[in-house]
Amino acid sequence: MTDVVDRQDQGAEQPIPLLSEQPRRMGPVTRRLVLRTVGIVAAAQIVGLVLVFGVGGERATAAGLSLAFPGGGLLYDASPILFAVTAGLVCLAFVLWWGISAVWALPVVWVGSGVLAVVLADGSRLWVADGTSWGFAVPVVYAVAVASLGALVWSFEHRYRSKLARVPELNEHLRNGAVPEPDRTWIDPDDMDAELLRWCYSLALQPLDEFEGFEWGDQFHGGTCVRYQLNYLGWALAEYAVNHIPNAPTEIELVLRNMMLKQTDLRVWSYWRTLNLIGNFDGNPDPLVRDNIMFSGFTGDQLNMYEAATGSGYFDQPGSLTFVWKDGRTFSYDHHTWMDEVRKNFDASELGFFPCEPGWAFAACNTIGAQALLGYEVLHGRGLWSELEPRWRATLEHEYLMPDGNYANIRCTRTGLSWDTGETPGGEYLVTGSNGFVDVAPDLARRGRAIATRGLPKKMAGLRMMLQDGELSMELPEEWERNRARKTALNGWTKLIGGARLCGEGAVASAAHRAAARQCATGDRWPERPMAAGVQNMATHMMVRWGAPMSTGMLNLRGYVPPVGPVVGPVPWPQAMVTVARSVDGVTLDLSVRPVEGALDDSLALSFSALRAGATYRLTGEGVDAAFTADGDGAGSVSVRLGSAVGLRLVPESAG
Amino acid sequence: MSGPAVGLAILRRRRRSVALAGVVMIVVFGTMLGHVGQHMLRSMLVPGSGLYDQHLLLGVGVTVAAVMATVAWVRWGADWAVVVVLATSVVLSGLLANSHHEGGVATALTPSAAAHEFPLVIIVVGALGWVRSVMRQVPVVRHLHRRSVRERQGIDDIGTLPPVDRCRTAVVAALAGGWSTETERAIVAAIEAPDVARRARRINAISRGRLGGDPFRRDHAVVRAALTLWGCRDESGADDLHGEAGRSWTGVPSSEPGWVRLVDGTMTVAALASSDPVAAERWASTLTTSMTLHRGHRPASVWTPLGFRLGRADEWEHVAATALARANGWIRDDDWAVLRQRALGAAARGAGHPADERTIAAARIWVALVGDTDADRVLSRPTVRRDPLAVALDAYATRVRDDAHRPMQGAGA
Repeated sequence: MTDVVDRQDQGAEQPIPLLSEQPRRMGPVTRRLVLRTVGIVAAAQIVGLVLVFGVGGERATAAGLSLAFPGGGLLYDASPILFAVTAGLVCLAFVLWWGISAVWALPVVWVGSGVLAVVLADGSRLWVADGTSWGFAVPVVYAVAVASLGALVWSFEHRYRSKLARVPELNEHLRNGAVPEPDRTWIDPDDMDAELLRWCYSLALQPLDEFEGFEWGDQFHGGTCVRYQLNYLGWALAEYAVNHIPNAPTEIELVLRNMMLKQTDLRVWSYWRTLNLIGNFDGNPDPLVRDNIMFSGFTGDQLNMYEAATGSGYFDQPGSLTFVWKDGRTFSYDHHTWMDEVRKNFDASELGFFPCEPGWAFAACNTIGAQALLGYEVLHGRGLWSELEPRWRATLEHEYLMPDGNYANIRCTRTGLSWDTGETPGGEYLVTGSNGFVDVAPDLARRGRAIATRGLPKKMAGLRMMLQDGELSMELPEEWERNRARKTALNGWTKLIGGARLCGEGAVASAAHRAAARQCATGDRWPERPMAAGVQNMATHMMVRWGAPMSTGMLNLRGYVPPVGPVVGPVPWPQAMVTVARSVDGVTLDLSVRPVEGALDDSLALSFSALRAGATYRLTGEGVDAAFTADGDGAGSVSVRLGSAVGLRLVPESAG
Repeated sequence: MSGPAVGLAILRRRRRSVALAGVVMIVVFGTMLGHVGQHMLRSMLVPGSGLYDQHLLLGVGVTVAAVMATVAWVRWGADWAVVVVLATSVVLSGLLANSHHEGGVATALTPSAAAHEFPLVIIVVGALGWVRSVMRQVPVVRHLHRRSVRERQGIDDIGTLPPVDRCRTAVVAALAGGWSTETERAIVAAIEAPDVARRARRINAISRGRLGGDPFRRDHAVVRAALTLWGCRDESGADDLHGEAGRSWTGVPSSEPGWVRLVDGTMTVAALASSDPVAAERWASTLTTSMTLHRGHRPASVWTPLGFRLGRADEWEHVAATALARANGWIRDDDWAVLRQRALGAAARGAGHPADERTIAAARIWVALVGDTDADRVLSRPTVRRDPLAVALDAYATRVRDDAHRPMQGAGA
C-alpha cells in the first residue's frame, strides 16, 4: 500500500502519495510480456547453441550463429560486408518498428540474414577462397551477443538502482519540502493575444475542406500531424472561450466546432489505415475501432473541451462525426459512440493502456484518453471513467511508474520493452497528458508538481528580480522544433510562462507574455503565422498563455457552466471579433471588440441578451458613452464605432 | 405502339438483319470460297489477320488502320471508316490469298487463337479506357494526373474548358439560373467562341463529309442546346433541334453522328423538356431500355443505328445525368442506391480533381431530391468552386433544394 503524507495543513487539496521504498522492477503484465520475449530469445539461443556446438558443420554453424546474433552466420561465412549490412538493417528495423509499427521488420531481418548465411555457407566468396569459413566468428559472435545482452540488462538495472537511490531524498521533499501553489490570475488579452485569436479564427472559419495555414508533412508522428494541430488549437481556444469570452459564445462555438469537424477530413486521419495494415495486418480504415488512442483519445478530449466551453450538444447528434474512406465507406460516430470506442479499447487491452500506433502504448496518450472519458462522464453522467479508473490507475502506478516518480513514455504491448524514443527527456515524465494529471489523478499531479518544482522557485525569484517596470528585457535562445523544420524561442517562453505560473509567479508570467511577443512576433497574418514557430508549438504556447484562471484540466472537471451576466450577440466575422466578454459580478460586462477586416470608423451594432428586463444600461469606454433600455425579454442593442470598441463596460443604470 | 416502342422495334429488326448478314458472310467465306474464303473470313473477324501469313506488314497496317478507324468512329462518329477498312481488309485478303502456303490457317469450323469477332476491337478500346481508369487509381499515377489537371476558378473560367464541357456547363448554368450579368456574358462568349463551331465542322467533315453551311444543322446535341438556351440561335435553329429530337427514337439528337451520350442526351432533353414533352418521354424510355442501369452502371453512349451500348459512363457523368433525369422525373431512385457510396468517396477525396468536384456537386442534386441527410452532411463538406461545370451543377443543386423547401403556391386556397 502506498504511504501518503497529509499536507492539508499547507493548503493542499489532497495528500501527496509518497514513493515506494521497495518498488518492483516491473508490473505484472510487463513482467509477463518481458518473460515471454526473453523466452523466445532464449529458445533461439538454445537452438543456436545446439546447431553450433551439437550439430556442427558449416551450414549448421552459420544457422546457429545467425540465431545467436543477427548476421552472425554471415560473418562466419567470411562476408563482413553482408554482416555490416545486416547490422544496418537491424537499426532500420528498430526505427521502422517504432516509426510505423513494423514489428515484423526485426524478425524478418534476423531470419532473412540467417537463411542467407545458410545458403552462402558453401558458396563463392569475394576476396577469399570459395567455401571459406571464419572460425573466429564463433567466439566473436557470442561475445557480441553476450555484450549486447549485458549492456541491455546493465542499462536497465543501472537506471533502476539510480532512481531507487533517490527515493529517500524525494520522499523527504514530499513530506517537508515547500510546494508552491500555482498562479491563476486573469491576464487581460493584449495585442498579441488578439493577433493569435484572429489567426485561430481565420484557420477555423475557412471552408471545412481547406487547411490554409496548417503545416502539412508526416502524418504518422511529430510536429506536422494536422490532428495534433487541431487538438492543441481546440484546447487553447476552449480556454480562451471560458477565460476571456464566456459571455460571447456565438463565434467561438463555430470556431471550436469547425476545429472538430476538420478532424473528419480524410487527409487528417487516413494515416491510420497504413499503420493498421502494417502493424496489425488489418486493412480496416476506421480510425476509432482499434488502437489509435493518439487520435481517439486526443480528439475525444477536444470534443469534451468543445462541449464544456460552449454547452453545445452538436456532436451528440448521431452521425455528427462521420469518417468517410476514399471508396465511400462511412464510419459514423457521435460524442457517445466515440467514447464507447475509447472505453472498449481500454477494456480490451491486456496492459490496461491501449496502443497509439499498433503495439506501442504511450502513457501520455492514455492519460489524454482517460481525460476524455472523465470529461465525458462530467458532461453526460455515464460512468465510463469511474468504472475504468481503478484499472487505469493500477496500470499507471504498477506498469509505468519508475522508482523516482517518473513514468515511462512508451511501452511495447507485444514485448513489454520500453526505451527512450527521444520525444521526452530520458523517455519519461513526472506528469503527463495535456492536463498533467490534475483531473484524472490530482494526488499524482501534486506529487509530480512537488518533484518537478524542486529548485524552481529560486530560479523564478531570480527572474522576478530581473523585472524592470514589470518587463523582462531578456531574450531566450532558439531551439529546434520537434520536426526540425525551424528554430524557435517560443518553446522556451512557453516553458518559462508555465514554470512561472506553476511557482505562483504571476508577475513573471505576465512579463513573459509580453517578452515572448516582443521576441517571437512576426507581424504576419493568416495564412502566415503571427509568431515565429510551427503551428503545434504556437498552439501549445496559446494553451499556456490562455490557461488562467481556468486550465483545460479544471474545465474538464467543471464541465459546462452557462455564463452569468449580459451576453453579447453575434459580431460579424470577418468585420470584427470579440476579444473580451466577461462578467465578473454577474451584473456588468467587460467587453472588447477588435476590427479584423472592418475599418476603424465602421459602425458596429452590438446586441445583448440576458439583461434585466426594462433596465437602462450604459456602455462606456474611450470615446463611447451610449445608453439603451432592455426590452421585456432582456435584450437590447447599441451601435458603436469599431475603432472605439476596446475596453468597454456595460453597466445597468436603473433597475427594470 | 408509342414512339419509343416503334423505335425499339425498328432497332430489333436492324440488329437481326445485320446478324443475319454476318452469318451469311461467315458461311459463304468459310465454306463456299475455299482457302481464299478462309482468309477473307479471318480479315472480317480481325481486320488484317487474313494477310498475316504472307503479307505481314500489310496485315498489321490494316489492323492498325482498323483500330484507328474504330477510335474515329467512337469519338467522332466516323462509322464509314470502320466499314471501309473492314471491306478493304476482306477484299485484300481475298485478292492476295495464296493457296500454296502451309500451316497455321484457321478453318472456319476450327477455333483458333486468331478467330475472334471484329467487335473485339471495340472491347480493346473499352479495355484501354478501363486500364486508364485503373491506372488513375495508382497513387503515383493519380498524383501526376491530378497535377496535370488545369485548375480553374469557378464559372467565370468557363472559356478555358474544352468546347463540349463548355456547352454542358452552359446548359446546366441556364437550368440553374441566378447568375450575374458578367457571368452570363462569360458563358455566352464561351459557347460562341470559334473553336466550338470549328470542332463541329471538323466532325461533320470527318464523319459525314458535310462541308460548309451551318455546322450545327445536325447532331451536336448539347452544343445546340446550349446555344438555344442562351439565345445564340435563331428560332429556326431551335425548331431544327426540336425536329431532330422528334425524329430520333431516343428523343434527342446525337452528340457526334450516330452517338447519343448519356450526359449530353440528358442535358439536352432537360433543356428541351419544358417545350418538348415527346422528347422527354422518349428519353425517359431510353433511360430505362438502351441506357438502363446494369450492374451498377449506365453506358456512356448508345450507337443509334443499332442501339448498342458502349462503355461505362464516368462516375461524374453517371451522377450528373441521373440527377438531372431524377429532377425531371424520368427515373426513380435506383441509381442513388448505387451512386451513394461512390459520391461519398468523391466527397472524402475532396474537390481537388474536376471529376470528383462534379460528382460531389451532382450528388448534391441527388440528396436534395431524395432527402438523404446523412449523405448531405458528408457532401456538404467539400467546397465546390473551381471547375465551372461543377459550380453550375452545384448552383442547380441549390435551386433544387430551394424549390423543395419553398411553400407550395396556392396551398390552402
